[in-house]
Amino acid sequence: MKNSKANRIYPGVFIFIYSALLLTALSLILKFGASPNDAVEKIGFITTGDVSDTGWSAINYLGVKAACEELGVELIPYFEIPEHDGSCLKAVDELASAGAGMIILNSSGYSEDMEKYLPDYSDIAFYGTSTDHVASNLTSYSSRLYQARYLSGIVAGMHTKAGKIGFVAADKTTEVYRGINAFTLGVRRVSPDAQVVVAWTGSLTDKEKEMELAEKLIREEGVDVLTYHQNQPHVIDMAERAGIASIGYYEPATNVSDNYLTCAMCDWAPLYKSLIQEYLRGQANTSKYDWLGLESNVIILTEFSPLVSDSARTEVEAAIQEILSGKDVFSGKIYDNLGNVRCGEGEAMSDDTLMYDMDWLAEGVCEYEN
Amino acid sequence: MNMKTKVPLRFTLTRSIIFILVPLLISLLMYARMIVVLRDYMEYQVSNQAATLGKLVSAKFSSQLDELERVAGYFRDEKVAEDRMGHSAERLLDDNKISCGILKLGGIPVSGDELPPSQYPAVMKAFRGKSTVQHRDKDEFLFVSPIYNGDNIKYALYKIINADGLFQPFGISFYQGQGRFILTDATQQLQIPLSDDTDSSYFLQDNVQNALASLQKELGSNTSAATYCISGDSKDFLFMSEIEHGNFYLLGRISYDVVAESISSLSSMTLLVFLLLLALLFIGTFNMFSASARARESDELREAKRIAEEASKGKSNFIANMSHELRTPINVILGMDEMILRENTDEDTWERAMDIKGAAQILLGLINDVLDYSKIESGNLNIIPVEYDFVALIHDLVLLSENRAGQKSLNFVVEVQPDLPVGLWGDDIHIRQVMINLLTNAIKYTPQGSVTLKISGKRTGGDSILLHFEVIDTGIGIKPEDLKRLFVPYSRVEERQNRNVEGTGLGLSIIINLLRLMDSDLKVDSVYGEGSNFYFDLEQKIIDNEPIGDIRDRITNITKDYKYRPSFTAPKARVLMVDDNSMNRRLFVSLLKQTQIQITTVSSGQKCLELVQKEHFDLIFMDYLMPEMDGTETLHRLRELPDNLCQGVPVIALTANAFSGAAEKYSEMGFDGFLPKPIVTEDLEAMLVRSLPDEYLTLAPAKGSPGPAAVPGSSDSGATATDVSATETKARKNLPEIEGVNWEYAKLHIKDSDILMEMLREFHKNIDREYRDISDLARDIGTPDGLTGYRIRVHALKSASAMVGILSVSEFAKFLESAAKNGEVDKIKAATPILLDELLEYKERLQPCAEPEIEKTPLEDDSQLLELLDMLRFSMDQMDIGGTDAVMRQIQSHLYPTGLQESIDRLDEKISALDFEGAQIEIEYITKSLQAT
Repeated sequence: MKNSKANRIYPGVFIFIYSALLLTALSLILKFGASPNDAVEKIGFITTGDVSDTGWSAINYLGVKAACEELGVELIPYFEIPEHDGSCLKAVDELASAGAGMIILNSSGYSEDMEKYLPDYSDIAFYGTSTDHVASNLTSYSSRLYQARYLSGIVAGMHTKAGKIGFVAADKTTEVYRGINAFTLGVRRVSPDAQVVVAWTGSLTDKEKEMELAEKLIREEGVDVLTYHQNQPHVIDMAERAGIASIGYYEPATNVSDNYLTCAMCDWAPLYKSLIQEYLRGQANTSKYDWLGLESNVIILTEFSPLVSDSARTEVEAAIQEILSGKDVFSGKIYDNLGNVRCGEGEAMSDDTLMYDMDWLAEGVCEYEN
Repeated sequence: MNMKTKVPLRFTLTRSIIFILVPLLISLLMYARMIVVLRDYMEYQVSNQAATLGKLVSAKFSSQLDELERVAGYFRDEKVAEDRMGHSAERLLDDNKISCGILKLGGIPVSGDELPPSQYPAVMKAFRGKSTVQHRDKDEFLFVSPIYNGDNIKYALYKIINADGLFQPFGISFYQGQGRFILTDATQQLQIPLSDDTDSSYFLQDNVQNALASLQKELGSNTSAATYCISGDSKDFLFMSEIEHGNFYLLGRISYDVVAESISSLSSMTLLVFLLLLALLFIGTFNMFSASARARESDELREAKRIAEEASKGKSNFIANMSHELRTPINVILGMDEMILRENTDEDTWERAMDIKGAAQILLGLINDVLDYSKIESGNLNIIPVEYDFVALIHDLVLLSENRAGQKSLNFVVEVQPDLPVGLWGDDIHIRQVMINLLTNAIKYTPQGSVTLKISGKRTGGDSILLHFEVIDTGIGIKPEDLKRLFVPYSRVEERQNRNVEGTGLGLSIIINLLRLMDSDLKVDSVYGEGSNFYFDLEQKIIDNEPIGDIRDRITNITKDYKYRPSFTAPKARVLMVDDNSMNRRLFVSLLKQTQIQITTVSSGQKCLELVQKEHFDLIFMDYLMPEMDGTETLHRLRELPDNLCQGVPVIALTANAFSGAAEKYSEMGFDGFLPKPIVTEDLEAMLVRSLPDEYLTLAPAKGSPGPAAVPGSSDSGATATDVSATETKARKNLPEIEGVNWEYAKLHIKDSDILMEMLREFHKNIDREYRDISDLARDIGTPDGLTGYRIRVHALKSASAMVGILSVSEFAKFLESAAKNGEVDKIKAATPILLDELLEYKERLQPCAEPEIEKTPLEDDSQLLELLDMLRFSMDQMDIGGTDAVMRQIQSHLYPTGLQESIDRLDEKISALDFEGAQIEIEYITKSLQAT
């Protein structure tokens, strides 16, 4: 009996082994030749703010998210990562472990934080907003947002009665200088005597200081138009409260009065798409990077407030045509506020200069002394 | 067996599915997968090739841009004056250009054409600091490079060149010149053939356009891509590669066959390996299946073998059982016949009874044949040597053979060497069997002539003799080639010719096996047609050296001599019998009644030891298995006892275990012999003759005329004997039908009906005590001692109940005995109540044969009882068991006060159990209490 029992088990075992072999063979056949490149690429995104919040982080996140969805890559976002306290490095480390091949550092402070650690992540392509820190695997990215600044400067210059426009700015980086200068060039195009008063907060995220300085600019300097370079539109709130005109930045404000003239905006999705495609083609960090601007329709001003005059609108349109015809914002005679010629007649400033080498303020800019 | 035909069908179906369909499916899958994989691989290869090609094309652009930047750098460094720039550019730039010039901001020419930035992105880019190229019209390309003034861009240097100038000499071939490709842009408005025979219209076909759309999509994340495309009759790979400068692409196609050719060896190799693997898989599968089939077949064979073996075993068992069942009635016949022989006085009847005895014995022999063979087959046959009468053996052979030979008118010749001894030691039953078989065969196969039985011997030492047995016939003989087959069980030589000769075909096999067991070998000399001679040698021990003399005389005497009567009397001999079972004691006494031996029985080893210090006995029979102190222990203590009146007296073991080698074993233990139970009168008497001192023995005359034997003995016991014999006749005639009592079985052991009735009565009387004792013992089976006590008690019950034919109780007791032996306490607990219930049943059933209830009369006075008790004491001293019983019955026929009645009942119990010592004490007690009142 014992024997027969053992032999009854035997075919069962055999069939089991046979099936296992068949399954293995099938899976091998199906797997055979499947390219490992089919694995979904992972893109890391680190930013300071909250996605549910308004402001820089949210608007960038929505852009990168749309781009990733379009390209079919996986986005791994990290929100509310503070600058300068090691959190960024930790996030990068986690992303590297997760297999991210490209990481977007969505705040200029991160580039500084990461600068000395970048060689440790040599197989990851980094993109940073700061132009002051670069490395072989860190590329600065931006758009020709200065073109929108310039156009919004025209709106401000046409609107101001006082001839004084307030600008609450975060810190003294090339990006911020570029913005202030483009805006001022726009203002002075239509109002050659007008002044742009810049008040430095020293931080992209300091609500109290932003509110305080905005209020001071109104009270003490008597500005009648306000704009800013901060992560959050607190300056708009102050302007609204004070009942003066304001111009937004990065994102359109909601629940605002007609005093909110327009907003200098960038459509981030196409920008991020071009970044990611560059990475996917294996061309990341090859300095082939091309700034997108008005000609690519990524730079826009939002719909004007009724308070924006027709002449202002006409002037903006004329400026757009000039830019598209090859006369960009930073071309022709440009002086800084110390009287130095920064660009000669008939000359144009190169992209390299605009991106990496601007540490001056244009003629017509004065700094608010606290 | 139906299974056998169904199973393979089902398996064949399953097998063919697994064998053919599965590998086929896999191969199809593999094939499809391989096509896809190979195409993917080729696409990948083409894409890589296209990327390389793209880089080569890019290099053409790069070299133009490099030249332009070099010149622009010259202008920057040398700060060449605006009016000289155009001329310098013409001079410094290569000749392959169509035109060149210098532009100011906004595309305004310093020299050459106006190129507005809104129309020429390359110009726009130049004023942002980048050198680029763009398509202008038809096959013209515009290269623009910035000219710096310090950090800012002041001018742009441009150059227009056509495709010929750009790509001549190109010298690039794709897949040995088989590939066709063009330079195009994202909108495919531009189509510049870069290879010979490029048919641009090809790319305008719909499905080609679809393929291109997918390629362009892929270029979103790759610098080059390729895809397989079927268009009309041509199977191609389409490929695209990005050109580094400007928004240009390289677009081309290459025939599938061309690409496949380069990897055809790979494809055929893969196919070959795959086919080999498939073949291996197939072979492996087939092997495994056939192995499993073989396993299944051998499984079936094993199963068949098992069934056959079981059937064979079953057959053997059946035969064994059957033979056993057949033996029982034959034994009854023999037993009844024995009674006739003993009792009968009429000579005619006596002679017929002798015939019955002879025939029944032959029948029994035949059955034993079969039984023996099945025993040999199962290895259960043992040779048990005993002392036997050689003359009786020869007598039986002659008696049987003469009769048979006479029927066939054959001459039966007996030649026995006269000086052979009459008493031998060996297994006479089996020797008889061997010889009967040989003789029967010889007579069977001899149509005419004679059969000769020849026995001779040669003494081999002091007390051994090598006997030579020979059976010679003048029969048909055996062919030499058939000699071998003689030894095959159930096979018969010349089956057809001898088909009217009856027989089992087992004879020779049994003989050969039996002789081997006795260290002998059967030999045959045979001449076909003339006759055969079967012979063997056998060594036996000599017990009685008296020579046989003329065998014919002996045989005649034996035939006339047969009549039961005690073979001796020994009134002076004193024998002690130790057995815990009262029925055995009673039987022993009854069997030896006519020998007039003085028999004392005790119920335990302890009592035996006490008694031997007071009295001398000439011989002691000791039950082997007793509670408390068993036979061996009693024997050893007896031997060591200093004040022992029985020192050196032979002690014979009584045992139910007559296994082979028993004699050696009991002798090792210190016994002087053993007697198997149930006790057979003849054996018992033979043992007594051998063991008792010769001077006590008065041997009955060995020869004598038939007729009632004079029963010797004292006058009083003679009277008892007469009484007994009267009762016996009466009792035999009406042995009462009692439910559950198998008289036939009982008579196998106790032929004497009176003794049997007595035993039955005894059994009945003991039922209460058995019931009490066994239920008490069953409570203590938890301990090893308790278990042993229980085992011995149920063993005794088994023997006692079997002795009187109460088989149901015996079987139960047997079952419980083995349970006790194996320590199966649970079994005992469960089954003991059943045994006891069954036992109790017999209390009722045996009531009819119990002593009739005599109407009890009150005793006139105590003196009458005292007188009776005196008589009882006297009878006990005389070891007159019949007398004792008679007196006891008389005592019990009176009424006594309750207290006294209890004492008398106790006395009765002890008398019945032949516990005379206990009875004496009881008598003492009663006497004293009577005298006290």
